[in-house]
Amino acid sequence: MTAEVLLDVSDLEPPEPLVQTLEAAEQLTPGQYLRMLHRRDPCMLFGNLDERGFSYQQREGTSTAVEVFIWRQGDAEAESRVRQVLSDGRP
Amino acid sequence: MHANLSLQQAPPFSVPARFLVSAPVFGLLAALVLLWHGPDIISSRWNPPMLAVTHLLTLGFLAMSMLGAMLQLMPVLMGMVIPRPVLFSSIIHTPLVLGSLSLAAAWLLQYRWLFLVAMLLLGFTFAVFVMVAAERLLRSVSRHITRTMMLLALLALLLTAGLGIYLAAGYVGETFAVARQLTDLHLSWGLLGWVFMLVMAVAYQVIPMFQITDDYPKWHQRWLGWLLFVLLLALSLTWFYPLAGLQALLGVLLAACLLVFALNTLWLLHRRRRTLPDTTMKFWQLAMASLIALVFIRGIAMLAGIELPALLTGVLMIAGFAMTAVNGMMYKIIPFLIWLHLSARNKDLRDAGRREQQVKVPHMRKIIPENAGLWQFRIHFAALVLLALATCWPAWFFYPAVLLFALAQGFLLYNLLNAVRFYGAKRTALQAVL
Repeated sequence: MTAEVLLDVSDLEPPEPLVQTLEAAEQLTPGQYLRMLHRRDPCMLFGNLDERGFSYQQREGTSTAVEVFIWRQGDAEAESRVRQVLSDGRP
Repeated sequence: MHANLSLQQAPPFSVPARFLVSAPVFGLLAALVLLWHGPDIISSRWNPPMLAVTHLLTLGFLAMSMLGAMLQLMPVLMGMVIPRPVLFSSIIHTPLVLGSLSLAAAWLLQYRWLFLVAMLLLGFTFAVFVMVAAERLLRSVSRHITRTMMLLALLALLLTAGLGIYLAAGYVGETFAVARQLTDLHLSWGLLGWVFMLVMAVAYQVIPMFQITDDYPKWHQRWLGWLLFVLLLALSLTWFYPLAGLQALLGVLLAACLLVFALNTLWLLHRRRRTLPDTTMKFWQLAMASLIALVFIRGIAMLAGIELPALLTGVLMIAGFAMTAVNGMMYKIIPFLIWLHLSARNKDLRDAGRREQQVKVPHMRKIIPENAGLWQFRIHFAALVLLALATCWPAWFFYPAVLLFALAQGFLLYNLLNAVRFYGAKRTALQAVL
């Protein structure tokens, strides 16, 4: 099982980016993180992630304007993988 | 803190819904007045029944849906909370309905006192709305250009209403002459400063968001609204200092603003990333095509010295541009709100630990079926073409045009009511388990 789950929602209209991201986040297994690609700041996402117990980190994307990394709060393995990707520069 | 398009900030569904559902009822009323009076009604824009029709559309359809949409968009896009939203929307909606009806009835029945009633009701509606909305917008932390343009549009609405009330005063008493020369300013501020400015402000947000396009260019967003406002101010000054050359120049520059917005929007839509068929996009394209047609027809008529039929410009601007754009946006706003509110109810169930009782929230495109919207679009489009032809050849085209227009408005009302009924049924089911 790969540690990174990639989800590109940049061609979807609201509220599909939010719906699909939350669905994908719910499917994460221990050690996995979600890398969501979007064309704009996801305005409703972060409140919903807080409420559902997920951590997240947003950065400027390469192929799309925005990338958001999402992992379960308390999943140290997933978090360290995200930190590594963020500190390594762009894979 | 992240910008959070919050469920809590969204007003109850009934707040925008009452405005949006009322709009096509006024469209139908306008069609009834046209049918009642027959083809002669469109011989002059000064005909009292024609003025009733115009205001049923501009107040009853356009102002109605635009105020309703603002009540929804201001909290959701700009994070502003309107206190006691249900009470506030009733305070605005009821006098707007009664005021629009009184004004139309005043022209149709020629009762002077009804003009006074309309002036008071509409004056109250717009003064209260502008005051509250402007105060909220000024306090908003959002620095998006949409906020500035909404403020400019509100100022234009206030000027339009002020000029309208002054003009209506001319009908109330013998001693107060109707200041008809101010009508052009009233309609310029109304159709360009208020309607066009607000549609543009909202388009900057909803076209990239829902049609999956690039953003409007920065220069466009930054300057076009301000330019439009300054041009309208200058046009107002030419009323005091009538310089024909300056007026013509301002007219050309205003037309250029319409053209830039329309062409830019069509370009963005043409280059959209997603190629799924979308009814709202067709409404946007038709609205922009109407603006372009309006500018070219007026331009050619001016250069060739041809006098245009009295109501052609009005048909293209009010029915062609404004009503088309608003109609299209309704097909995104209403399903999105239904989705938003049902999701909020599901969240309450999750919080209560009753995940299994959540209702399935359908895909937005299923709430108002794509086909129902598409057929309503086709009828609206056909009605628009016939209405434009009817202004040139009323004897041939008047009745088919008005009947199709009535059908389009009835169909829109049916689509909106179906969506509202769907929401009602789901909400009842959710309330039963909560």
